[in-house]
Amino acid sequence: MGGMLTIEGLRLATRRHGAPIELVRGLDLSVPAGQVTALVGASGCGKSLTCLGIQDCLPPGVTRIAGRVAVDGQVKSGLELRGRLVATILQNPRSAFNPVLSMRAHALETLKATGRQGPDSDKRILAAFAEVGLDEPARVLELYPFQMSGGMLQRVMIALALLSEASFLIADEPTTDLDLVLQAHVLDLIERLVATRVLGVLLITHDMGVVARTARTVAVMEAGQIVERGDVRDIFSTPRHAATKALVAAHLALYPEEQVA
Amino acid sequence: MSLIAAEAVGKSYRSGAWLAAPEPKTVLRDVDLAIAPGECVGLLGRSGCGKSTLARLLLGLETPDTGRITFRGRDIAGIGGAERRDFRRAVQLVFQDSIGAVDPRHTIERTVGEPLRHLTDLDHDARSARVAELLALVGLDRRDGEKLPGQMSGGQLQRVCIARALAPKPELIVLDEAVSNLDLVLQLQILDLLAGLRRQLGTAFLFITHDLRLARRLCDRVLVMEEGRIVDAAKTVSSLHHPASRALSAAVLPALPISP
Repeated sequence: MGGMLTIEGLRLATRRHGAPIELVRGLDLSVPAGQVTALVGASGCGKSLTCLGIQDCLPPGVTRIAGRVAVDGQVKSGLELRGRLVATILQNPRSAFNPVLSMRAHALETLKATGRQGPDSDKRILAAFAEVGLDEPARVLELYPFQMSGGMLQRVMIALALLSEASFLIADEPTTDLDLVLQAHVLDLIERLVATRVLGVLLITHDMGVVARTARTVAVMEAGQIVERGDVRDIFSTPRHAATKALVAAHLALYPEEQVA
Repeated sequence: MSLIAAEAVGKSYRSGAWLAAPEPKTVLRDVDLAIAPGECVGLLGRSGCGKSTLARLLLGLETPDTGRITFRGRDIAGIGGAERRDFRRAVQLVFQDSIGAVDPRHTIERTVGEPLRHLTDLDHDARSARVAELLALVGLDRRDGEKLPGQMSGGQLQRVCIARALAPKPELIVLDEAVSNLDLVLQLQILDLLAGLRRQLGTAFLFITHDLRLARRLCDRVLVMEEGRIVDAAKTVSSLHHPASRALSAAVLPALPISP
């Protein structure tokens, strides 16, 4: 593993009454292995669309009109990226699972799709479940989504990402639906995997607290463009663009003064 | 006298299995809670600790198995007719999912005006004047009334839900994770809006959340729930001491970057 995921000149557009509307307007972004890169911005600025656009699985009506995605300098198609080089975890883990399939079936599907199915499949699944901190992995194997909490499901999502042995993880608001304690656990887990597996993570969030906790570099999006980027400390200490200032100010306003100084 | 109170309330649910008769799951045990007029109480706790169930009981959407809920000292189980109507008017609710809480086919004006149709005697013109007033109160434009929910953003729709809750001039609004789905800038705007409304109208709030940061900013006092009980209560977030509260405080995200 290792390397760099680069997105160059990504432009995504839709049409309204025949006229094209650009939703993501020429986005360049690098996601290095072994650290968390945060993509932040207000609702509707195009963060999630970017994450789908990278992997070429856009919603109906939205098309990629320009841009390329490369891993270590080699241009890759959406099909090569999706689930192989790049794994994705989403905000609502419950909707990411098939309600009538057990966790084993989901994990086997991932192994099969990436050509890693074999006699030791169960062993590998159990190891991945243990690695993401699920208690009693053998019991989890037989569970269905409705028997599990949101926090457990998000851990399984991450375990599936590990099984695919992707070098990059795109996490789109991975903790927004979880309570604060579970959020801390999932962020701990992501940080641990970044260190042990040298995973490159693109973390999409609107919560600057999540950014402060996990990210090393930050890109701020507004209206389909990246308006500011930089080291996380600089973004917090000297935000330059109005969008960044608004995000940082709203975040810091939630803390007592002595913690902010 | 307290506006609304839960007295030794207990509640359990039976699971939906058809054949097996499973043990009922107790979600609330012996909960006491009183909210004074104009007070803002924060109810904190992790997912599944019984926060929302307690809110549903307070609103009379469900009935407690043990104990009772009182509204101005009277058990709500025993009230009917005009008193019931008054209770319905006096307590309102805002949910987390604003898109799911409005009818996608109804205009904003109709949505906000609906409680006025059911709970007040205002005629059509008076209702539409009141709706315009409410929209202004939550910082929306009068012309937004003509829009459909699909034409608004999540933050705007949450304002619509707050306007609807304010419509019948309630004395208590229960906010069940009402800002959790919004981005931080919008969360702050809504919190400031609520604080302003409270000063202006003297409405009491029960603010349900798992995010200590939000409670710290808005609430007069906070309660912490764990496994169906209220385990901690304090004037400020920083003076909470129970392990469940400490787990919540420990999970609060850092204000400033901590990366190496």
